[in-house]
Amino acid sequence: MKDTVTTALMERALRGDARGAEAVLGAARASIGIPGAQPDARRSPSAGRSLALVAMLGVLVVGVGVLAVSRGHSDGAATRADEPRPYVIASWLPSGLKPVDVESGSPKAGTTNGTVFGEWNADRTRLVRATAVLRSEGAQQYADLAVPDDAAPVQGRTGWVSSPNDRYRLGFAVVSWTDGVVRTTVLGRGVSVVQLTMWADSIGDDAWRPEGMELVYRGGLDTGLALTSGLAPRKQYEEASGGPGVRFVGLSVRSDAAFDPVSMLWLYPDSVVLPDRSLDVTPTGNARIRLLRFADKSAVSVDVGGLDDEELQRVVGGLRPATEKEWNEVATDAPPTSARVTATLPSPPKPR
Amino acid sequence: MTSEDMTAGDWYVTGFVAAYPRLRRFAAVVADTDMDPDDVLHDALVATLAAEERGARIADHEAYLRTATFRAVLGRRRRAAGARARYVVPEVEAVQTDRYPSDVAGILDRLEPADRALLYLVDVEGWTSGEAARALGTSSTAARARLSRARRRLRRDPTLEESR
Repeated sequence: MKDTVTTALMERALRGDARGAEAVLGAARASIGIPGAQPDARRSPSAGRSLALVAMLGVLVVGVGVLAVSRGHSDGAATRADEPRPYVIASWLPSGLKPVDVESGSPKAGTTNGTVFGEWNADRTRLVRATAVLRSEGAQQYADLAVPDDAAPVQGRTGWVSSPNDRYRLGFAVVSWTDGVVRTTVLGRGVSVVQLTMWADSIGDDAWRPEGMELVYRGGLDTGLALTSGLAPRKQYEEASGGPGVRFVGLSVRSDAAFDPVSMLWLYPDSVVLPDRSLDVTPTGNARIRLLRFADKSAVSVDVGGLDDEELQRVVGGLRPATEKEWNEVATDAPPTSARVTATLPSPPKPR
Repeated sequence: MTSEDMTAGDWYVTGFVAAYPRLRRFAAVVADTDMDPDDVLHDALVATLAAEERGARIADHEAYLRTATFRAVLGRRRRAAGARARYVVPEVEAVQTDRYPSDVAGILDRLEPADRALLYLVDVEGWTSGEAARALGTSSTAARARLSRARRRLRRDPTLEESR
């Protein structure tokens, strides 16, 4: 018996492709902000800040990170050092809401580019089915949300496959694989796992299309992902009561003149494209998110809880550029952090 | 040159490269199969670097990292359990499948991380139970008892009985 167990232990000890000492050490140093450290392209999505995206989706990832990396870093990828940081605040808020919190955002090295395909509804305001192909290099694996429940050969590599009805009920099938430093993740909403796996294996040049879908967006996804994941600087307004069910408004801002809200149409099933090309999302429960381009260089996400359509529209309509001082102002009677966190977590999505 | 002879920075430049294969093998054994060994090792490194930033003086980095790796696995398990508790997980009907000799590797999944760590360090790396106990921050007596229970459990596993 001992030989059998020893063999099994040795096999287990050698499982997976080792990233190498330099990659792992570089990523760890980058996590705690040691200068000169390099991020690890293959690291799984475990940094604590990515929990915000998961929270918005109403799902949770096994193995969320050990260390929040928000240690006062600047919002690095899209904002150069010589470029003024964008600040946007709400000039109108529902009565009783006060600024209670400001987060500086987290560093995000590397890039994620993507191609979004979809089948539009009749008035072309939402996608009936969607497929997104994300390629991340040196970036946190935002889209690696699912818990793989199967493996399949994809593009000559081992692909990890998750079904839309996995235990975290993400609502989309996911196939992902790694090739060198590039992690490719293919997500499909309204698409079976088998179909998505076949598509993933057939992805070729830019002319490639999933059957029955058209090209919706091709380009960078860093800004959209940062805005929806809590990696961008964020300011929160809320009722003084704190506690579950509190009404709140959160603003996240990032500098990106090329930001297109439609780039994130794949992420939430209820996303609606508005006439000004903003994206309106009801992720879960009473939460709402509005992704928009603001002014020339800013991309903004407004996430609200407990507000009706008219109030959300007034908040969005009242956004204005602000100074750093205005951005950093918060109320002194802010409720405890725990209450705020509870209030901003939406319920899990209903199984589809 | 031992860890104590180097500055912390020196050790990471040279010592970690040498220790990485050993630490990764340990992480791969202790971590559950849905955890990436390098992610676990990353967690351990972050904890170790953070401790040093707070002023901790680490005499033996490899030993410290091994313990931190073990704790990182337990931390990830706790967080996963917390996540499951907060959200309703639909029940999935168990499917009875035939067992094959290749399932032998699967029996390790049914052991606790501490059991796998002890079995690996003692049976594969050839450590004494006392040395393994120190690596996991437990007593020799507790480690021996754990090893004994783990081996007894493995002996009773039908997969192993079939493979003998």
